[in-house]
Amino acid sequence: MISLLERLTQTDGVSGNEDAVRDIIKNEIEKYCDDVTVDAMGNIIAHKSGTGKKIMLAAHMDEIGVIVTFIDDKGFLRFAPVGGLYIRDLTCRRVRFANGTVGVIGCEDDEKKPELKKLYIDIGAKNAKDAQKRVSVGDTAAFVGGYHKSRDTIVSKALDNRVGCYVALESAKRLKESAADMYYVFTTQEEVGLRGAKTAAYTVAPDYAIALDVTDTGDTPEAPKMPVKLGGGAAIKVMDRSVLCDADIRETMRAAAQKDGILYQLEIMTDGGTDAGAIHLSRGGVKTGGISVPARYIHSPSEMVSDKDVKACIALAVSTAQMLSGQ
Amino acid sequence: MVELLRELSNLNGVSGHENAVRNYIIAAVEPYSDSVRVDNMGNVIAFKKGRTGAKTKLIAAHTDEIGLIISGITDDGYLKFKAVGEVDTRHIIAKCVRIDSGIEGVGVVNGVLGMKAIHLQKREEREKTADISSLYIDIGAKNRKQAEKRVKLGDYAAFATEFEDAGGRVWGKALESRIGCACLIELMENDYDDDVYFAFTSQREVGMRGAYTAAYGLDIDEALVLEGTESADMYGAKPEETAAKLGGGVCVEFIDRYAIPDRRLTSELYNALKDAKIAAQEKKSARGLTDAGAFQRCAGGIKTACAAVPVRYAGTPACMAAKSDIEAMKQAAQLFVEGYGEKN
Repeated sequence: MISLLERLTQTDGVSGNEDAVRDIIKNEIEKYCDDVTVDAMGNIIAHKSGTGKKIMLAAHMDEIGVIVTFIDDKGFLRFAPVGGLYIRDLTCRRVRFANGTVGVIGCEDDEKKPELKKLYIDIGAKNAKDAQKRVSVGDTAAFVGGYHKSRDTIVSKALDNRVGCYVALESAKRLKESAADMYYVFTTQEEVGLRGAKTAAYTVAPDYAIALDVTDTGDTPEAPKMPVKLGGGAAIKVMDRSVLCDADIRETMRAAAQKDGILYQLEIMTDGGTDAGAIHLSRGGVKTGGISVPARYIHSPSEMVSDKDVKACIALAVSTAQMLSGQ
Repeated sequence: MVELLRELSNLNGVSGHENAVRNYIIAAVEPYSDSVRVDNMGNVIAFKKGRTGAKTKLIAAHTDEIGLIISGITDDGYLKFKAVGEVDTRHIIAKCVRIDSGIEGVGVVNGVLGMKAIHLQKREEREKTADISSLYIDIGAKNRKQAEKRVKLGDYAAFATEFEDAGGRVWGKALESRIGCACLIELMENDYDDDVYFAFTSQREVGMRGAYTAAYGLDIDEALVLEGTESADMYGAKPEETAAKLGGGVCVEFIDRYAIPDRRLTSELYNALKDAKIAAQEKKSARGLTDAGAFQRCAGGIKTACAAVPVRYAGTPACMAAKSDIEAMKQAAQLFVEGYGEKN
């Protein structure tokens, strides 16, 4: 039996082409909500009616990938990044198109520091005509990275941000019978600039918002100094490059964690951005916070999280929402 | 179309000072509109009520061009300036400009972009790209006092390129915006089933600013942005760097730096173009910026696609386009407004 999280990570949904992931999430969230719609940007906006303040939990559905820009005479593909890619790490990675075609990223010569214009995708085609039977300019492909779980450690591509979506879904399950007025928003195109969240926040116009995403850890050899550790619990976002989280929301999260005995840690970084960045500036502004799953090797095909932290994030999201609702 | 394009291209409308272009457009579209208004950002928004009004569509082109703004006058009567939009200094030295003087009664002042004479430059200076701060506009004034009688700080300078009809091709300044405007003006003459907003946006070259506000408060089902896209198919470019071929037809865009247009709208448009045998090509690049991103994320969001005419030497004082591509973009825009599978 494949777990929901494995299904989510192994279903491809590069920014702008989130359809397959959206279908799975829509099916799940409908079980816990009264009204589910999809807006012009492809965001899922799911509402579970309640009383009190409007609370929005947001998680982005999209993942980084590549987009085909050119097919040459010999059937090799040129591409552009979709989202933040480390160009130096791409050589020899596998990519997968929507129709199942798998390609390998190759590099023009033995470059120690490859540039994007020296990279290409090889799908084993004989020539352009052969290639065009299977791919077209404008097609996106996700990186291949299988899902593995041993003890508490989970490794997979796209844990950024399918684990955030999973936390949102599991929170919705637990909040189904609560009195809170909840909006579960699964956004599109976060990786290319927090784009879906902008219009979704405008439509929902929440009182409080919490972005569910992953965050870097500082616990690997010679890592840049960062307080977050794998297994250190749910990360309460204080700051990243896109947002200074609302102090009241942060304090509520800390109080909720202490009240319910949830292991937590604080996330403070100068880079990285999440949907919180777009949401907090919506309309006249929204009090916004973030709960993040600590992750190593973010934006690689082998992202790593701890199941304990995932569970802590779910507990914290639920407890925080209930506290915010009661205020 | 060519004469319309000639008039539009020769008008000066640097971002933030699109007045002349705006007034021309209003006069051209008013007879065919149910309403025309100009919003706070200087966008012209013309509305045509449809026969059935089943859908509400928006089709847009921007009106502005890159140029310069006068930021200082030297004691010797030279003008210092800043760029408005992305101006590459390699392309402007020794070009002529026309300054729209803000001093009453003066009108247009002509000038030349100068830098230190080449035989006076040190070798290091010759080998580097000139910084804007080392360039100046020479209007032939003997000193500051003379210059101040003719121009003032904040005046806009546009490049003085005269539009040329060269048989199958045209060239001129500001084609990236004015070709789209010409297409929209001609499309306004027809009637359609759906309600259509024709938006002529301002300040796209300085960051898609007009487009941010143009659609606010309008309930749009589908939007199409008309643009000019760089065509790097000149001498010396590698095939994979070409992006769009001149003469290859209207360019349908899958991604740019600021937007991933709606996939379904984009595929529908591309397939409809192929079915109607209108010359079309995919944009083979992820580069460029268009108003599509601003419309797509306006308020609660609008499903948006983007079609562009390939333009060589985009972002310089003189760019070139193919008449067949211009015609293809107009037909693409018409297809979008009429709806696929339905003919008027």
